[in-house]
Order: sequence, then structure tokens, then C-alpha cells
Amino acid sequence: MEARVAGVPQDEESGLLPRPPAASRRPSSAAPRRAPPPVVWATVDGPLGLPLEEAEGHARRFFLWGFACLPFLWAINCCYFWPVLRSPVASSSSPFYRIRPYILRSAVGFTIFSLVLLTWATTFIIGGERLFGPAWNDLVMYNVADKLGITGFMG
Amino acid sequence: MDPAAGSPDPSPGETSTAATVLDSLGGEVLAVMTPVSICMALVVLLISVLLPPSSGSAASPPPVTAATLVYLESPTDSTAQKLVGALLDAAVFVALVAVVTFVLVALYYYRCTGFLKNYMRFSAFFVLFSMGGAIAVAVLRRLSVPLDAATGLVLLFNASAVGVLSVFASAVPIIVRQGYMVALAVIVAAWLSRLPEWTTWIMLVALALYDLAAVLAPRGPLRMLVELASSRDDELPALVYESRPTVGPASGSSSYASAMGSVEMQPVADPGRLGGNQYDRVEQEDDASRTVVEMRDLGGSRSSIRETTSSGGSAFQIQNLKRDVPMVVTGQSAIQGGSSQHAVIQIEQPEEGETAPLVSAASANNAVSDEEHTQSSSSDSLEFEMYESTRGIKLGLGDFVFYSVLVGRAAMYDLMTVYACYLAIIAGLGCTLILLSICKHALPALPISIMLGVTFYFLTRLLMEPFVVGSSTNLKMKFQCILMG
Repeated sequence: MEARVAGVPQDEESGLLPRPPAASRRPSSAAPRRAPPPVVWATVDGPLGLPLEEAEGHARRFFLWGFACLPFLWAINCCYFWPVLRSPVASSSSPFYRIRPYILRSAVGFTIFSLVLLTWATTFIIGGERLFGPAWNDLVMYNVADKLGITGFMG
Repeated sequence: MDPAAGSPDPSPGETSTAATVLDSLGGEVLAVMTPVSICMALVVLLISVLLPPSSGSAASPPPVTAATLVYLESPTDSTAQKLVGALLDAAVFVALVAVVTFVLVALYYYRCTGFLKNYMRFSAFFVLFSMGGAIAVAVLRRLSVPLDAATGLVLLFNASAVGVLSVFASAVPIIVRQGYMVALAVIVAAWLSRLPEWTTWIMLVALALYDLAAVLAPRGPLRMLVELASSRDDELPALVYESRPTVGPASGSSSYASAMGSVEMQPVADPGRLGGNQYDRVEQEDDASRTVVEMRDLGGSRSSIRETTSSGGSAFQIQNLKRDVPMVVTGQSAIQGGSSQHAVIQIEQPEEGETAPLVSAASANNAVSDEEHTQSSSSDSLEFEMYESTRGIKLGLGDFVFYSVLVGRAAMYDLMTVYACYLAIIAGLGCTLILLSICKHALPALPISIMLGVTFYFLTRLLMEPFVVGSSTNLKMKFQCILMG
């Protein structure tokens, strides 16, 4: 069956990820056999989440994409890899050793972002017209929406 | 919904019917009813927050959407005019929904899954960004929170981007994905609840009937979709709320099983395999590889040599890339197809089509009997039964939307009708779930609930309210009536 399959091109739609050939898969499947007891989940979803091997690439991608003005990805990163974030400072033997830096940096990035944004938004809301002058009205979100002619929802 | 759903009992035949119903009515029902309730509550909240300032919904004309293509209700029309117009509207709307659903099924049949997924991502982004943004602006205005435009835009863009990621099983927490499903339903329902009154009611009834036909008729589009998806052992190519599956007992082999499961991007399914196979690791390995074999066979129509060769590289990198590959392949067409539809008219429409209302039973698949699976052995069929049985209940997003539309429309009248409709819908959903555990194949979730909801709305409005109002001089009487309601 394996031989027949080898010639069949893989499907890109069915959600099947490219798999390493069987020869290389067997040793990796033998890995948990050597050390069965400590099952570690990097994600909050436990067995339903990503396995540890995929986690690092995922964390890195989310971390890097976060710089594209998408800091919520950092927040998602932190939530998703909460066990990693909460794990004690890792030595190189820890299973989270390679993921942890990305998660930590995501946490820092998100904290900075939300602090800056909160400060700015609070200043803007509380300061109001006294602080910003008449231009303030042109910056308020619903006024901008009115000016652009985006008809609001329900009046 | 299989008897073995609750516990990974390898011999499911002995469980009695009563135990089946009770088992499945436990956590799983709650897992479906909670998000439905949250969704309805949010829509009612939105409407009750946003309705007062307009002081009579006549202030802003109802939007022209796919549901009001033919006839736009105006308060001055006669009843007969309204009725005929609403019927025409509903007929056109249901026909559009049916056509779009057939198109989607055809696309899925010819394996344009990449296009479908990108299309759904696009529509999720559109719904969240523009429709959700409009609602956000209205809420901010209503609460008089003068948020500045830049902050609002950044937040909105971020929320939409995360929502798009979470639509299709990209790795985000399950709770976030479910939250976004509910959010999408709330937004669409809030927009749809602005439809004129007669059109809303007729449309709801027509959709319930359509749903009945589409899921149960032998050539119904939704039925075909579910059967196709289960025969391909694939996720449904639609926006579907998935209740969190019950996690099987963790055993030593769980890490391996999860690795296999998530490689197939069916993370929901792997506890089932785990539960079925935890006794024999060797058999589990065989099973896993055989599953892969089948999926490869099934997916042979689209070759991707590049992927195959590059899969020798670093494992996780490629596995992550994998999710982007369809986007690369069909990205152009998706963007072209999508960008032509920026009108609300069209976007709401396919939304209904793809979030097609259906309850998909966990054990709905007869995958083994499919011709394409002929090479699968009998042991495999056993595995598939188990494997399917532990997936949670799936509820199409369309059900969320139309339940909420009903409750939202009721909220525009009175809070009493809201209670009545809510209870009726939840009761109908409960009935549907009981039927589901008996029938064990995909069932339409709209008919019972919508019929009960509509009936209760008019009963409450026509019978209950005069009663209550008439007796309101007598406080004691009134109290009793509310108790009865």
C-alpha cells in the first residue's frame, strides 16, 4: 500500500499536511516510546492543540506577523501558548526551550502596544476638545464615519 | 452522538437507548445551547441598545439586501400588499440561497477547496470589518465614547485579521475560534434584523422549509455537502460552530496520536482514534498510516510536486506553510471573485449559503460504504466509526443567525416576546438534538425551532399581551399571568 501511494501526488486541499516519508516517520513515532510519561502540551487546548514540533514555527510566524500592525496576534500567541508562558525559566533541556523566547517577546510587545494605545485613547477621550482644539471633532471615529458617508448601523 | 461518545467503550452495542439520549444530552447539548444563548442574548442587547435613539425604526429606511430585492416594505402599504411583497421577497431570497449553496457544493465536489476557504476567509473579513465596524461605530456613538479614528481602525483591523485566521483551523485557541463564530453570527443577525417586519417573518418560515428540504431531500444541497465531506473525511467547507469535543483519557500514546491527528488537520478527531486504539500501539500506527493512504488517494486530483519534494525539509516549517499553499495557488481567483461582491446585497446572501443551516451529527458518516474507500479494510471501518463518534456536535452558523434574527425581531416588540421566543427556540433545539441522537445523521436545525419560535411569538403577541395589558389594572392578576408565561 505504501508503494502504491508513493506515486500518488498529495492533496493540497483535503487538509493533509505533507508528510515525511515513512522511513523517517517511524523513528519520530518511536520517540515518545522512549520517554512516555511526561506528555507536555504547549498549548491551552492540550491534546487538541498543536503538537510540540509544530509549535515553534507557529509561534515564530505569529510573532513576526505581529509587527505588521497586528499586535492582537501577539495576544493570541500568549493565550495559545499559555503553558509555555507560565513555565519556569527554561534550561536547554526544557521542551519549551525554543518556543519560549517568541512567546515572551510577544507578551512584551503586546503589553507595550496596549499600554501605548490605552494611554493615547484615554488622553484623546478625556482630553477632548480642550486638549486638541477644534480638530478633535474631525478625529472622532463616528464623525469620520459620517464624513465618509458610511451609513451607520441603525441610524 | 454515538453511544460510545461519552466513554470510549469499545463495545457500543450494549448501551440502551435511554442511556444514549442521556449521555448525549449531557455536556454536548450544553455545549451547543450555551453559544446559541449567548448569541441571541448579544443580538437582543445590541438591538435594545441601538433601537431607542432612532425612536421608531421608520427613521432609517431598511437596507436593500438580498432579502428585499423585490419589494421594500413601507408602513403605508396595505396588508395584502405587504404579504404578497414579503412572499416574493422570501421566495427570491430562498432561491438565491439555494443557488449559492448548489454552487458551493459544486465547487466542493470539484475540489476547489482552496477557493472556498479563501472565499470564506474573505467574507469573514468583510463581515467583521465593515459590518462589524458599522455596528461598532453605532455602539460607540450610542454610548458616546469618542474613540479616535486611528485607534478604532487599528483595533478593528486587528480583530478582523484574527477572525480570519480563526475561521479555518489555523492554530488559535478553540475558545477564540468559537467566540469568532458567535461574533460573526451576531453581526449578520443584527444586520438582518433590520429587515422589514413582514419580510422577516415570511423569510424565516421559508428558510425553515428550505432547510428541511435541503438537508433531508435525497438530492438536497446540504445533504450532498455533508455526505461529500464525510466521504472525503474532510471538514465541512462551511462556517460551522463546533462544540468542544470531549477529550479522551490521556494515555502514554497520546502525544503520538495527537501528532498524527493534527498532521491531518483533524485535531478534533484524534481523541477518538486515541480512545479506540489506546490498547494496541502497533495497530494504531497501522491505522494511522492507512488513513493517510486513503486521504492521499482521495486527494490525488490536484498534484503538487513542489510540496512533495520540499516536504523533506524541516518538518514544522512546511506543515505551517501547508496552510498557506492553497492561498497561493488560488489566491488570484479568490480575490477576483471576492472583490466583485462588496455590496451588502451579495455578501449577506452567500453568507447564508455557506453557513448553511444544519446540524451535523457526529456519527453521520457512512464513509466506509463510499466507493472511493473500497480499499479500506473492515478494521478500518471500525476505526472510522469511533473516530467520527467523538467529534462534537456541529451547528451551522446559519442556525445561529436565524435564531438570533427571530429573537432580535421579537426584541423590537417587547421583552415578553423575547422570553417566549427564546424558550421556544431552545426547546426546538433540544428536540432537534434528541432527534439527532436517534437518527444519527445530519438534521436541519431550523424547522422545529423556527416554527415553535414564530408560533410562540404570535401567540404571545396576540393572546398573551392583551390579556396582560387588560388585566394590568389588577396587579395580582398580572403577576399570575407572567408566572404562567
